[in-house]
Amino acid sequence: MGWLDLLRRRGARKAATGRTDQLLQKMAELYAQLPDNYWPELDIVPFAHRPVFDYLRLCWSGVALDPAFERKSLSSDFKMKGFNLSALFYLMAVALEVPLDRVWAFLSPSVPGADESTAAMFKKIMIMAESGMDEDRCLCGLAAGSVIDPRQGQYNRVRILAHVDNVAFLGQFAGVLVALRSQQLHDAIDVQFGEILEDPGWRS
Amino acid sequence: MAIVRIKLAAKQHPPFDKGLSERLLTILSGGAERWNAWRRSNPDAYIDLRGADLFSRFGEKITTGASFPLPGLDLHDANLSEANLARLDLTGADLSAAFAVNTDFRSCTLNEANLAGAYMTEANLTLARLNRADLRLACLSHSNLFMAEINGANLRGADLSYSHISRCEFVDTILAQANLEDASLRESDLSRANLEGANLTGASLVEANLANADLDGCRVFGTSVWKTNLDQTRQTNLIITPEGEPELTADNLKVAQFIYLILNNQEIREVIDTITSKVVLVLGRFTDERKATLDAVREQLRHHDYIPVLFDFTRPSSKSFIGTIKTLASMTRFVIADLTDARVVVQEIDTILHGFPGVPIQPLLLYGQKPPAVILDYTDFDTFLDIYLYKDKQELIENLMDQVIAPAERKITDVQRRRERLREQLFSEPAAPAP
Repeated sequence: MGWLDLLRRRGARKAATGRTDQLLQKMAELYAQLPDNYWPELDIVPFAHRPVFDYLRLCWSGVALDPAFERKSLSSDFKMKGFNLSALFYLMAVALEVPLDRVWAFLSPSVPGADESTAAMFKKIMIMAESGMDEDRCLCGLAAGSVIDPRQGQYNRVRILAHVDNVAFLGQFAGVLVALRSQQLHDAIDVQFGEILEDPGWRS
Repeated sequence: MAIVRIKLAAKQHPPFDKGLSERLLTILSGGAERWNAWRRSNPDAYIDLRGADLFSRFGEKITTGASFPLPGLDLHDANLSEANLARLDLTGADLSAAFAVNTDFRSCTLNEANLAGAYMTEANLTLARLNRADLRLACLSHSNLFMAEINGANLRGADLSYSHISRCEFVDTILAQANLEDASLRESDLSRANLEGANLTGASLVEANLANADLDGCRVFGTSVWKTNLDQTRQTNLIITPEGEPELTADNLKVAQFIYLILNNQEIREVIDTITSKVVLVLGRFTDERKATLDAVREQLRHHDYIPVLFDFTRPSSKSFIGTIKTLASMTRFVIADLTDARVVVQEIDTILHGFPGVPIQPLLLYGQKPPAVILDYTDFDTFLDIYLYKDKQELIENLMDQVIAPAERKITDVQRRRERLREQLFSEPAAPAP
């Protein structure tokens, strides 16, 4: 299953329909296939984040954490780059039903000059998913920056910083996403109106 | 009640345009009428007044005595972040859904103004007047509202968390469903305010006036209510647990505070258990010459692991001690009443015998002294033990265990056994009838 399939199915319920044993099996298969999916022209493994996403889904379905897996490096063990991290954030946000604008605003740098690669890549994926593109390779190519990014996919090469370069960090980031989902009124960047009870006697 | 839909301030803004800001200020200098007309003809214009120093720009008009009124000024959806609006008269102005982070509103008059849905976090509203203003769903978190007047205003659903709201006036104000988490409301006047369903978690209401206010359904975990006026305050369904925990409710703010303290502090529970199981109340009139006797009795009680609490009637006072005695007796294991030269303790003994029939009273009397005649009436009470006559301090101390403590403890055991028997008779299953 390509990750565009997941993009099309926005609902977390649909995204997490796989049975635990099936997911475990698929995760192992995907993990084994990682070296075969390397794209030398872009220096990325487009689906490198899939085993990690499947592991997270397993955890969310109630399977116990695997300490050894939690310690794995995203970059060296899974060959993930900045692009994969953004793609993974996107899949997590969709699966956890978090409004995507909130996630994008959260990832966007708040000071000029700060690294905007993760947020920019996330936004690209958002736009492409909304446009209904359905070719895995096309989407991956676009997201990788070789077509639409005038800077020739510089985001591909963004390295994942050492202090977040492990699977355990993603579990923590899922907590952030859940917090974003529960934002209300002024806290939520995408909420434009609030509703409140009327006070008929006030100012009368 | 009907639902109202309120527009909230936008949180995303274009980069600052100094030229645009200057053009807007030029229009604004023409007064509220001209400004409002311009806004009506440019409804989609982005009002960027970030960092604008309106106080300096219009300061001359203010300081010459004639205040600079901008009544009914239309600033809805405007970006006023870090602007200086201090001392302006903005009576009846429309600041709904305005974005005003860290804006200076000191001494600003905003009576009858519309600030619904505005985002005013970290704003300075010291001494501002917001009487009858509309602040529904406004965000004022981390703001300074010291000595502000907000009487008769509507802050339903507003966020005032972490704000400094000391000595503020909220008389007749609607604060229902407002978030006042960790806000300091010290000495504020909230009389007749409607705080239904408000979040007062961690808020300080020290010396605040909540007379006739409505606190129904408030969350009061960690709320400080020292010297708070709760005269005629509606205190129903107060949630004493923090968010995320099973809800525990009480109908009295001060009791709620105490209940939570007991439930969540093992040490406090131990203190209460200690007090109720070990306190010995010592009543008497301990003049300077008899002080040594008292000190010796206290020392002996401590030695036997009791906590002596002295009630000294030496200083005459017109004040009634009955209330205090009742409180002390309710947490006392037994009472030692020295009748020597102490006719004044008679009333207190009478109160304990009638109000606390399970608390034994061990009377003492210095040999040769005459007890009050009314004591004879108390001999009918089972818990009024035989008077122990002592010759001097030495004898009292030597015999304190056998003649004072032991009889009292025996009586406590008797009372407990009697209660257990009674409980069995009342609540045990009746025996099956013989076939």
